[in-house]
Amino acid sequence: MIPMVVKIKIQAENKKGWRLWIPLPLLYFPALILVFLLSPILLVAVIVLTIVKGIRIVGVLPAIFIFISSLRGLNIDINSKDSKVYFSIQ
Amino acid sequence: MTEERKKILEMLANGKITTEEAEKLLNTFESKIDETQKGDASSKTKIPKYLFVKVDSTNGDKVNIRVPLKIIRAGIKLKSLIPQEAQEKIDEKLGEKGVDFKLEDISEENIHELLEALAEFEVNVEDKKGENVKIYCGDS
Repeated sequence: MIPMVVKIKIQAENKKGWRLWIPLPLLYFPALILVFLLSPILLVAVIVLTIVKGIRIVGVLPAIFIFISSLRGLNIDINSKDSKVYFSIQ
Repeated sequence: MTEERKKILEMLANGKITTEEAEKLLNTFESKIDETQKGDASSKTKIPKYLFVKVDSTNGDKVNIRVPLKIIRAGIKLKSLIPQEAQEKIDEKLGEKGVDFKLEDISEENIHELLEALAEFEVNVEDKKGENVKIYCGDS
């Protein structure tokens, strides 16, 4: 499963803080649209990179997808007397 | 007593097989049981899902980090994107530093073994003041 939400909470010394919930589909869909629109340029880049550098670009998208999926469950929670930081990918 | 063992002993009692043959049959039978038990034990080894880092300090600071171990597998997938030329250079540089290791040697099997071994990995550091650092792999 690909991650759907990134939660960030930061609380500073003066107890003021902010919470941020980023619904990741908001990033995925524009990225997909961008890839679709730029596909002619990307196709040329793929061919050039494969021939010139030998980079196997065909495998890039699945690899990135797997990497993003693997990030689900990452959780960083740091608490001190004065401040708090929380970062989570769900 | 299992069915197979009973049969062997019955055959011995009826005189169908000699004591030596019965012993051989029992030995092979027992070794087969051992192998299947070992196989079951290894297949049941659970692969942990996360790496946990927990720090508790006396002044109230607390750190709690959970890293999904799937990242390791994903890293291996990303490895396949590195051009052959670059992989050779990396291996060469590692060799120069005395690290006898080749990127192409990393396989899914090795990673599986590593993840299985991580199930028993645990680092627990505690000092006089009561500050505590714990690193371990598990599901929760």
